[in-house]
Amino acid sequence: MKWTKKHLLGLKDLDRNELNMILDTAEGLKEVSTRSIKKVPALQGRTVALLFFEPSTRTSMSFQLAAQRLSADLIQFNKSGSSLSKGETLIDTASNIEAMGVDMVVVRHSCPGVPQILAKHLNCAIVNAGDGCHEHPTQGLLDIFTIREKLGTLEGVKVAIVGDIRHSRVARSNIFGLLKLGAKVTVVGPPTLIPKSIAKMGVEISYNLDETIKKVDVVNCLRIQMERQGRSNFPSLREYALLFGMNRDRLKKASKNLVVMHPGPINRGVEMTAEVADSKNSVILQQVSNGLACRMAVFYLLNGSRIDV
Amino acid sequence: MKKYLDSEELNKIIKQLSVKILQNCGDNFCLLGVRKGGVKVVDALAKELQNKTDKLDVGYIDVSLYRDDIHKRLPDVPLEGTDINFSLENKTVILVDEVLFTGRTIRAAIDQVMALGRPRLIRLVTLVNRHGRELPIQADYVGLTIEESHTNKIEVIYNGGEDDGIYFTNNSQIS
Repeated sequence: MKWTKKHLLGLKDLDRNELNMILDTAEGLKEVSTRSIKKVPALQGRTVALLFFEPSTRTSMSFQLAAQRLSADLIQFNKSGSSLSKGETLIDTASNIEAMGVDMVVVRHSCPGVPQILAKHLNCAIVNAGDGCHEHPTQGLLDIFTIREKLGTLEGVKVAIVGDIRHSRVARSNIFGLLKLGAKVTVVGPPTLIPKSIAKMGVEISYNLDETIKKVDVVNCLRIQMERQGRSNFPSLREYALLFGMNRDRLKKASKNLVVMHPGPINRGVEMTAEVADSKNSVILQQVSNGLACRMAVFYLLNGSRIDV
Repeated sequence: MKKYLDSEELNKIIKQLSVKILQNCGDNFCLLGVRKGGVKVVDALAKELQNKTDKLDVGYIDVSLYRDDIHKRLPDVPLEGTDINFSLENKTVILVDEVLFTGRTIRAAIDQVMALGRPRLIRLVTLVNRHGRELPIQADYVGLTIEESHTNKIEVIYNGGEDDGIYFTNNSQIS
C-alpha cells in the first residue's frame, strides 16, 4: 500500500489503513532518536515552516525536532511582531512564506478550519497542529501510538477520555482515530463540558468517573482549557478535581495495569494529582517521546506524497 | 515466473557463503541484513554460523531514510526500522543483501552504517550478483552471478518451504 494523502488536516479524513501506516512508520522511526547521532537525511533539501498563531511549547518543539531529525530546513513564524499586526491577511502571510520555497507548513490557529483554508490556497503540504476546538491530529496519533505500544493492540481496548470534551480538539482527534482502529471510547466529565451530540460520533457518555474507571484499560485526562471557555462551566476547580480528577482512590478502583495519559500541560491537583502523574501507571513522558516519532512519520509520508507518480 | 534454482542449491550457496565469512572475517564481525530482501538471507547465514562462532551479533537495517530517490518515489511503507542492539565500533560489519543490482541500496546502507558508528571494515555479501551497476560498488562474497535484462525481475523465496528458490523470467544466463 502506498501513502497518497497530500495533507494531514485531521484524523477524520484518514481510514484505518492510513492510520496504521502512520503508526507503523512512527514505530520504525522511533529508533532514530535512540542513536548517538540522532539525524537521518530523509528530508534533506526540504523546508518546513512552523506557523503557530497560538502559544505552544511541546507541540512546537516536537515539530521542530521532528523536522530537524529528518534533516529538513526550518523556518518559524511568530505571530507577535509579524506583518499580521500590520493588517496582512492569513492567506497573504502564508502565500508569502510559501513563495520562499517552503515544502510543508505546520499550522496552529485558534480558528477551526484554518489548515483546510491553507490547503486550498497553497501548493505545499499542510499539517494541522491544532485548529480551535476542531482537531489536533498529531496529538491523537501520539496518544493512539502510546496505547498501542503499551497494550499491544487497539482492538477492543476501552478508553475513557475525561474532562473538557466540548472544547477539546485532542478529544475529537482521539475519538476519530480510536474508533476506526477498533477501540471503545467513553467520554467522562460534567454535563456542561460534554455536548450531547458527541454520542453521534459513536462514543458512550458518562458523568461518573468512579464508575467508568473500573471498566476501562486507559484513562486520558484532558487539560481544563480556561482560555477556550467563555464562561465557567463548573463551580470551581476544586469541585472539578473532586469529581473528575484522577487521584489515588480512583487509581485503586481501576485495573492495576490502567494506562494513565495526559496531553499536557498538566494542572497538577486538577486533572490528576501529582501522585498519579508520577505513578508507574502514567505514560505521560512516553507520550512526549512518541509524539516526536509520530510527527517524523507524518513529515516522512507527506514528503513522499508530493511526488507525482 | 520461472524457477531458476531450487531449495537444495540455495542451501548449498548459503553454506558456502557462511564458510567464506568464517575464513575471511575473523572473530569480531557482525551481520547486518539489509531490509527487506536481506533479512531472510542474513537469518539463514546466522543459522549456519551460530554454532561455529562464540558470539554472533545479527542486526537489520532499513535504508529507506537514506535512499537517493527518496524525493522521487512514494515512501516505502511501512518503514520497518533499523534494529541493531550492539555497537558497530571497530567491528567488521558484514552487510547482507539478497540481490545486488544498481548498488544504490548498498550506498544507502553504507551511509547509514557510518552514521551509527565507526566499524573497522565493511564487507558485502550478496546471494545474487546481478549486472547493472550504477555506482562503483561490488560485493566481497557472492552466492551466484546472473546476467539478466533490466526489465526482468529476480525474486528469491527463502521461507524454509517447498517453494524455496530463485525465480525470474526468460533470457537469463549464468556466468
